[in-house]
Amino acid sequence: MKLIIATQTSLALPLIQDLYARQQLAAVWLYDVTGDDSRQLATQCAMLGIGVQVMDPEKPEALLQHQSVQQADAIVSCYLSFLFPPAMVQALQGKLLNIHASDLPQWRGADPLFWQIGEGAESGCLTLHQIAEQADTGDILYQQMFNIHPYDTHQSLNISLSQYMPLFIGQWLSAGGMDCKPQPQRKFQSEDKPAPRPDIKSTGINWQQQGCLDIFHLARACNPQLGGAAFSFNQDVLYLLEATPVEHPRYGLAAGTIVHIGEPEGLLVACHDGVLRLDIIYLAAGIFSGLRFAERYQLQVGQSFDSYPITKREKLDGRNNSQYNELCR
Amino acid sequence: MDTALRQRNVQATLLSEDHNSEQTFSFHPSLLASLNQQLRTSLTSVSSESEKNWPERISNVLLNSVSHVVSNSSDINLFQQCFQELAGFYCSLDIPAPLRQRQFINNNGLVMSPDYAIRTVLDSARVGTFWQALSSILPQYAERECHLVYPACGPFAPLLLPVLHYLREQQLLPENLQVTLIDIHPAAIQSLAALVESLQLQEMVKVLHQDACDYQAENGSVDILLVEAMQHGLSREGHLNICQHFAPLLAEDALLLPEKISIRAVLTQADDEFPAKPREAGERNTQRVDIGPVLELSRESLRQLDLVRLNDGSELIRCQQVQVPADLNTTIEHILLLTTEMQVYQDLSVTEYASGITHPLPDLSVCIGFEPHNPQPGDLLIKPGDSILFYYRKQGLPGFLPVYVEPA
Repeated sequence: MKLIIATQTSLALPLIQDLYARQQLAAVWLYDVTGDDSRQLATQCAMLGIGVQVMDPEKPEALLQHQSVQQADAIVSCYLSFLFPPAMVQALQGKLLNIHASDLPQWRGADPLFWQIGEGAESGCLTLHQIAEQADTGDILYQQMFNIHPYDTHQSLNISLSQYMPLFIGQWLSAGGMDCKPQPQRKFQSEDKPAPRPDIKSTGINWQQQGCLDIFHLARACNPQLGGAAFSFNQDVLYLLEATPVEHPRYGLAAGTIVHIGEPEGLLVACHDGVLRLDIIYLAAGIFSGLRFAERYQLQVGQSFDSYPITKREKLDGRNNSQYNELCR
Repeated sequence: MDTALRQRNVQATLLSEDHNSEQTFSFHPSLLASLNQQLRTSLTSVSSESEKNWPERISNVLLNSVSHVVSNSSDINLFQQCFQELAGFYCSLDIPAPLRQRQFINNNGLVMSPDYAIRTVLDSARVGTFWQALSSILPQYAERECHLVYPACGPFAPLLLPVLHYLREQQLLPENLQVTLIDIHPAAIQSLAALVESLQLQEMVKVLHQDACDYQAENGSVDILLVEAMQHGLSREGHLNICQHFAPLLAEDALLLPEKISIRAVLTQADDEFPAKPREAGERNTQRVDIGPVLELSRESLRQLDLVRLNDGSELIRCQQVQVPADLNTTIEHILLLTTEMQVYQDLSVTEYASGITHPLPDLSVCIGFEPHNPQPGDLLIKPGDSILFYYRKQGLPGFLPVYVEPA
């Protein structure tokens, strides 16, 4: 059996190399060749002598013809944001497959890992499914669980899954490959959550609503591609790349209030359910440990971080006056 | 009187559960040196003179400063000069940056870093008024024993040590005066111990490293309690908690300094109170609506504080209730201000705006006669005619908590 791997990132390279070594790789379909990562992948494929077909959304017929010429049994979409046109889905009749990193129909959407890490999931599921006209709804061919380490970031988990992908596809092939009987997804239920690409609101910290663990997980989910979980201080946006919930009294302080600045505890901030150490903060001036950021910019305990998107009162209320804003801090 | 108070040497008693004073930091020596140099540069007090001159320099600047203040001929430059010299002395101690920059909140309030706390000396109205008061008060104890305690005094004990030094030079310092300085911050203790030694005040000054609210002594053993541990609106620091802790320790005729702190509730429009163009000296906001006292903290009121214990173990103090005038003009958005006046001793006061601690404190969570455009958790919407009861929150970041009162 020969497969075409459709992708746009070098994260698919371990799978491509493995299939190539097994002589089960028909070709690589590459989308978005303008990015550094996909160009790097194209170069690697060229070095291995792997045929690469550029995916042009305007020319699906070129892809169909290429599949026919390559006599590929299936096309496996892997780390791909390209949506196959319905005509192509129909024409390939079950040969168009996708690897989705969730237990479908839970976490349908463009970024299931973001939402699973953000929710603090300890495990996930790789799902190989047929591509249907509606995204992530096709019948399931094969599934495998994977673990999520408490310190995994979005990218570290992506890389782990990238390394795991050859084994996953290898096990599916051993189990029969395309001969495996597709199973319809279970019925979508109201508690099944969507996994859209994260927007400004979902990557922002809301000190009033999110607890220590919520923020700890959000920082991991936003690290590094999204630059960190956004919050603000004095109208400036900061990005939290790493945080740690710690045992420390919060003395009933309002969420977002700085409780402690100093060695060895670090920069500690009250949340509504405990205290969080801000370990790594990114801002335009550089990447700082929380403590070093606090010392460099002379933060004072008792000052408060604000949520993001910024809600701080003086910005919107027409009560903007620098003197009393200063006094309020 | 506690015999321990007669001990001749400066003590730096360390909290058993806090080893920060003895902590060695694993920073490279050159990084620590660089951080200390950065502090010197930021304080613009780099000295080319040798360290052995510090006792003389500190002595001179303190004598000069206090004598000018006592004779009512001080100016702002005097305090700037005083700060420069004291800051230079502080830098010369080479206290490791991680220690002197450490700041935190504990159960009784905010503990600022000594690097920040040293700037208190620059608050001329506050410091000058206390100097005047103490230089007048202390000679009155010439004929009797006196135990003065100054909790949360910071790295310089700036309201007291200069006066002690000045009075001694004037031969006006009571022989039986015993002073206890208390601070929770180990870097402040290092600085205090060095300053006391530099001023050769070891015989009468004892330095204790502990939370002021953990200080134990015989009831009635404190003759003067000097405490100034607050930010504007009696907020953030542990002033009231400390006063409350010391109340039973005060002698029958003890002095509490400041004698009275008055907090009042005032309604005003933000632009009237804080105009874009700063007001002339002495010019006041005439558009304020004073709605009454919130708390008056004095020796007498300390005995009558109405303590409310909550289920979670935290404590509040029930303060005064005020009423918003029924005829308040709601075409403008009023904000609530908490104003502070501090009567230090008799007619010596720190008036509103004179010092950082007497600036009015706006409470933006209280919206009077309008609804905020961006409601936030904890907003208190108040209408004309409504009553507000103030509680004082003791834990964490102390401060006033206004609560709407249902009509009877």
